Amino acid sequence: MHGFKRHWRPFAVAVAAAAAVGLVAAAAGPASVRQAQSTKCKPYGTLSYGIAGGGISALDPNTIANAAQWPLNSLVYEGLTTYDKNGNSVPDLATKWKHSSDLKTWWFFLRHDAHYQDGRAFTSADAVANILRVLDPKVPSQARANIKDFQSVRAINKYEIRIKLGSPSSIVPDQLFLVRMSDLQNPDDLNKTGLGTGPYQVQNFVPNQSLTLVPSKYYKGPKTQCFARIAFIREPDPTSMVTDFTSGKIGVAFQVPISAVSKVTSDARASIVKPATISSLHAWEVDTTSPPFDKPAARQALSYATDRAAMVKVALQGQGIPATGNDLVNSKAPAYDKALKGYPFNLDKAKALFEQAGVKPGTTFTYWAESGARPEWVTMGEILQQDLEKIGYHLKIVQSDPSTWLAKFYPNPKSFPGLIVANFLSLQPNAVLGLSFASSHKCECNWNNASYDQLYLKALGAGDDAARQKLVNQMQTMFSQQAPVLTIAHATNIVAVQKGIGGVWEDPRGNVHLENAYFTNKKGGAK
Amino acid sequence: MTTVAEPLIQARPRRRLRFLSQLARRPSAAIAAVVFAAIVFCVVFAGVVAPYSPNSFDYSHLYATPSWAHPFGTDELGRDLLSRVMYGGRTTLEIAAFAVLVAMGGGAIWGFTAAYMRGWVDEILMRVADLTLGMPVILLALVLVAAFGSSTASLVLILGILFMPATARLARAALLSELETDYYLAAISVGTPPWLIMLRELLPNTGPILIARASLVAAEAIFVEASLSFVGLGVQPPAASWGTLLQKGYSNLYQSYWYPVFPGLVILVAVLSLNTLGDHLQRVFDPAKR
Amino acid sequence: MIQYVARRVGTSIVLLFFSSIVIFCLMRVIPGDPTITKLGGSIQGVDPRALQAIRHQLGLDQSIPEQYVHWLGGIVHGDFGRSYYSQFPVTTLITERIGATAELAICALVIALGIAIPAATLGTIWRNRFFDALLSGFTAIGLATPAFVSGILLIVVFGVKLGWLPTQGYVSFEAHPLESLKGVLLPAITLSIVVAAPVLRVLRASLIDVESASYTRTAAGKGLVRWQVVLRHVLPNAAIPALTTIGIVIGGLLGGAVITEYVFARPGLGTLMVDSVYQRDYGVLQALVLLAAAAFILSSLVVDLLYGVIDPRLRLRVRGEAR
Repeated sequence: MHGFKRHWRPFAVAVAAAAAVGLVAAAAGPASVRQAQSTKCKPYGTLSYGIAGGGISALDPNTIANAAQWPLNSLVYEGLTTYDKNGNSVPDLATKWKHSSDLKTWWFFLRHDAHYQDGRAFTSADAVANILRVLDPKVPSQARANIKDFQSVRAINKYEIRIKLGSPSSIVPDQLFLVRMSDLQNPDDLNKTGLGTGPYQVQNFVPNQSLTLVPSKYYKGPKTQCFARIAFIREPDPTSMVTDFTSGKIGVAFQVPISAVSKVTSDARASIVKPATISSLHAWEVDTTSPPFDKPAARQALSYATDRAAMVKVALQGQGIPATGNDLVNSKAPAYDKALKGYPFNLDKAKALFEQAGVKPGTTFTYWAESGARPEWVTMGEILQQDLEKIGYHLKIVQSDPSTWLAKFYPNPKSFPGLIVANFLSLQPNAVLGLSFASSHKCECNWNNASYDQLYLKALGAGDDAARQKLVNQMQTMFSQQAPVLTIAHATNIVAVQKGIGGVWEDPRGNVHLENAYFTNKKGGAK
Repeated sequence: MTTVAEPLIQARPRRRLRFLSQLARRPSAAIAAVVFAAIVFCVVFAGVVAPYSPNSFDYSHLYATPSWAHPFGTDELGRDLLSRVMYGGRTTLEIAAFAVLVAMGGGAIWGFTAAYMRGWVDEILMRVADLTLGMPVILLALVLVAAFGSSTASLVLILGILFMPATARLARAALLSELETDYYLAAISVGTPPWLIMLRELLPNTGPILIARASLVAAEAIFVEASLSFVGLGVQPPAASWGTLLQKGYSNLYQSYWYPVFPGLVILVAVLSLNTLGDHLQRVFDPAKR
Repeated sequence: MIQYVARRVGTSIVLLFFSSIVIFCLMRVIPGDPTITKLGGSIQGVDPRALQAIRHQLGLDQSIPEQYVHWLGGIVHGDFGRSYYSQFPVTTLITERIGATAELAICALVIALGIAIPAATLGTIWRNRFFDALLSGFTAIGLATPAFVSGILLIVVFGVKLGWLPTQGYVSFEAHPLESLKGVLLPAITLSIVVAAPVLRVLRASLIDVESASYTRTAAGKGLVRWQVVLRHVLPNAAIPALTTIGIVIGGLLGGAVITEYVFARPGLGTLMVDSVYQRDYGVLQALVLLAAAAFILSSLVVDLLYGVIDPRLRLRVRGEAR
């Protein structure tokens, strides 16, 4: 199937119309592009979206764990809120919200025209059911950590819900972002059928292989339905995905390997999409409850021994912002604390700190990476390996299959002494929520720190931006000094798009958004 | 066909020495022997022959194309690929050699026991061999690597075990045909103790057939090791094997077309020469194949 | 004969039974847990109760013998269970993919035999030193080239550089026969090299054997032309040993297809197999192993029986063995 190449030419007229609307919308201001873009887009053609690696195995939006399936969360599903390109919360199924003056009660007002893809109207009862399901400890949802503090969730009327919190929060719309609304009438079938309120519905699903979406006839919201089909195509490895992309079979490629970036950018028929700001990063997790990394000095030593500049230059080929030391917020983001001192690469300091922590020269650490997933992790490991060798420490690099890799350190609490786990973290763009990654019982690092938790709660409830930023700075300082997680580089998933496809964008967490994508013609050009 | 008219026991020709004289008569086998010897030499004396250290980074020459300074080019960390192929050969050949030892040793015991005991022992042992032969090698390899990891030692064991059943079958067949020969029956009839016949006649006569098989197993071991590396489960850095170099080359295909070419060629040449040698040995030693 | 077949089938079933136990235990010894893999690495702060709930739902909280008995019971009733990972029935997952593998295997076999049989026959008819060397060279290189090396080579040359053929993916034959065949061409060529080399080797060796036999010389003495002798007398007799090799090759094709499918991104049983190992999707893997073992056992059984049909002398020997 030679996807879009075949299809877009005969329909150039309709495409030009879509592009023109896009231009008008763009003039209204970048932040409003998504909402203002036309709903009048005659669906045609197939957009092929290529993903490398494991593929999509299940469709429940609230228990998914694979970044590649993220586009589903804006195509098939919607949340009460969503993010714009800069990571600010904007309306999705909720049109507006308000809160009490103590920030402990919030009201959300829902769109009246929302329907599930089987035609059933989406109402406040569905919203409440979905939020409560995420709150249920028996449901393994990554969204739960953000909304743990919700005390009660109630439907006030058909289109209004009320949420009561245990302690004040000024960022409930951000906290709600991860909760996607699915049809809970048949929860057992959710993973197979995937029913939501978004503009596209699941037509055909072969786990780990292919997924085909078609426009939902019940969708009346602001997102566009410009494709007759959106096909998710799974490729066994990144190189074969690039081969398919360069041959034109795939329109949008997710997680393009770094080694192929120069190839894609040198091709006039393709381009790389970049997020406006980055909240995802490469990080190394260690067990902060067992030797040798239970001592902050040992973690600091490791941080000093990490040549982040070289890793970004060589392993990431410049595709990323080196972490200054341990920062969860990247140094170019507004919320970054400019006063952070960081950990400039210094092997002497590293050696001294290791000895201070009682880690004797000759110690062997294990660098734990997933095979095939991100070859850059191994390159980073090899750089660390050589540097540690210079000060008398050894690093054993181990790549293993995904299940073996995961079982070693996950789920928390799990002890993994001496292991340095390479991982990729997609954090919330909101700095408070992003920094909450290190709060107690959340990350695999097992770092439970009551005063950090206190800071987090205070930052949630901070009434104004200045007060919040002050607390955010304190969190950053503490995180940097304690180094519960070693951050290496703030980088995103690389997304390549063929010329002739417009409206594809990447959010700060590194996820692709196809909900407003469209085919352009050559003259109109992609915006 | 040779034994019938000849006198008993002593006159049975030993086939070992014929190997060299026959090598000269078959140029392809001779070339294969020379090529493989050259590869082994470069690999064993990599410390002397290799132009660079296999682990020295050079960030200013990442993904260099082949040149006089770097005949095979450089990799993602600027390391010299020729040197890495030479050192990587150590891992590969080491794994292959020890895997062959395990496969031959285990397989010979397995097959000989079956052939010698006959009856239900034979039946059980051979059914177990069938059982493992019925499963795809790569699948078993994947499962075993997941279970035991991919250190050099575990790869040796895994590959050794994988090639054991086929060797066991061969060993059994070889011994069975020896046991049917007239000279064996004669030796038994004059009262020579079985263990002595085993030691003096049966082993020396079946040995060469197994040795011929060994070079084919070595070729297969290189093959499977490379396949495992290809799906990302080969030896771990900074050590490299030909398989992992090829895999890294493949994943960097769009950065440098040259990267996978030489590791791939080296695997091909090594396997080719081992196969040719193995065929030759089989022709010389195994009457059935002549 | 009937007794022999019954015995062979009986042994095969016992073999299948033991293979299933081996793979069942092996999978559960490996580190890693489908429950955890199912959740993925990015979920933070998962409640242990959530894990327990999933484990119970998948039946993984039972003891291994209990799980085995449960699984075996299902199979007896034709129920191969569900994927732990995607919750689809295993049979659905397999039937969805068997087409891609079957197409690849059949095409590879056709190409391989299409090369091997004429090449070996021509080699015998012509007796040309150069052609002989060419065949030996092809066989040797074919045997020494891993599927991923030839596969990558074909992708680079025909897919990337020349852009003539699609290199990746699969289009079902029923939907678009032509597209489907175009898509299968490169992978089939890759796999056919692996298949053709051993078949060609065995066929040539036995052709030479048969040719020197007395009845061949008699046929030649009757005044038949050389190619007639080869086609009528030599080839049919030489086919027997080649048949064994083909049988073994077909039986092992599923295993051989794993890497080819991987390189060419074909959604077949090979990729399903690798996935299920990686994701610890026990149920799927167990079913696939049974399938592979059954294919192997069945093909060797068929070859053995054909052997008997083609060569009555062998039937007698087979009987002798069976006793």
